[in-house]
Amino acid sequence: MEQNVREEDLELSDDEELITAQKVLENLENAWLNEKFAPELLPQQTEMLELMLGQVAHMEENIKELDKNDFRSIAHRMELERIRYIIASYLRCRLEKIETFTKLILQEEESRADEEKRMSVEETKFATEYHENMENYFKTVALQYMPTLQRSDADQRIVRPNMMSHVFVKAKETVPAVVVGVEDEEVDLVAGSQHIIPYQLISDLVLKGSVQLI
Amino acid sequence: MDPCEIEFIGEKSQIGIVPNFNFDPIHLISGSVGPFRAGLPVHIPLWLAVHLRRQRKCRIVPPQWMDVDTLEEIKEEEKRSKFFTKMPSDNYMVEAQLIFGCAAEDIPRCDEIRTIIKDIFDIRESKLRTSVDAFIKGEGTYAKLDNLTLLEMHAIRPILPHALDHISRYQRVASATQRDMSSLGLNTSNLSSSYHSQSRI
Repeated sequence: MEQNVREEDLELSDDEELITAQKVLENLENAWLNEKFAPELLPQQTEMLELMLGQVAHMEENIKELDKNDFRSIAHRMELERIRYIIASYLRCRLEKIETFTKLILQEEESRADEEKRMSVEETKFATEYHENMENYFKTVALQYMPTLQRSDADQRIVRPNMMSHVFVKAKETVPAVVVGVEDEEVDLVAGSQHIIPYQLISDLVLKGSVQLI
Repeated sequence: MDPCEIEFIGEKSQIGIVPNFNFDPIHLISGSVGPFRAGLPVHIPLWLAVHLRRQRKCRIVPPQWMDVDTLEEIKEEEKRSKFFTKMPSDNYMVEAQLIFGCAAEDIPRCDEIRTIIKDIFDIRESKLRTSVDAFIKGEGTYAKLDNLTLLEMHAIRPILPHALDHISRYQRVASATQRDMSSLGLNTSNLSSSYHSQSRI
């Protein structure tokens, strides 16, 4: 029994790299925090999510065989609750952004190459349907009664995130010469240091994973 | 972020316990814990420790820094220093809160420790308020926040970034107006005040 519950090395599908369940969880936690604080929608960690959901399902299967009052079962169940919370909060946070910036996200998504897509298939489906429903609703409720001139200003109704909003970041590795002000002042972000800075100036570092939003 | 989410993150830190039962190692997804041997100290995540303590299955070993003398030193250092000093733990408030909440009797001189930790937090908070004030008045857009813990950051989370966002929006509008006016050949000298300074919080 204990053998089955043992944490296993998981295999990443495309590059055959070995990664522990612990590392997957860590990546997910970081993605969750980044998503929470970034004004824009970040790429979905589909791979990490799938690995973790698989791990959770596997673990659930195993603790079913245990007595409910067994200490092992209690500890595992508590941990699963914590992981489920992170995953749910992560996905909910993304949905919130998709609902707010639907049109913009769909447009951006269209201009991206396949491997750079930020939404999962399900999210894309949700966004498209949500957008269609909203458009239809606006049309039936108000737009059709308006003068033709005003009907065509759909582009003006696009909601955009404020990319210059300030965020707290922690540098995971030393990044030299980061522009931190509008007037091109530069600062080296030392590993482990913390800063408050407009998001746009470090958005590429967030994507690369050299800094963590906190 | 909700305070409970900060607690959630803080609950991941490791803490020593002395269990009063025997159990084989448990292989959690976030790493293995145990083996548990009655009377022998072992390190486990705080969330599990709190649960076990509530079940009266263990005693909590206070973290090394949770000691009157050490904390007094930190407090003095914090008073002396102009900047934020490094805290012994990134989640010291969360850890103290949780441990006091379930295992106050496991900590020697618990009440004194509680007061000192609160003092340290207060000193840091007032320092934070002063520097935020100076920072906003200095019209900066960037600041270094070394050694500030998550909870303290979140104490200023809704206000500070929001205020900065507004300021930078005004500055953008101001410089846009300035451009418009100079393209019209108007005198703009009285509007050219959008400078940015760097400061350290």
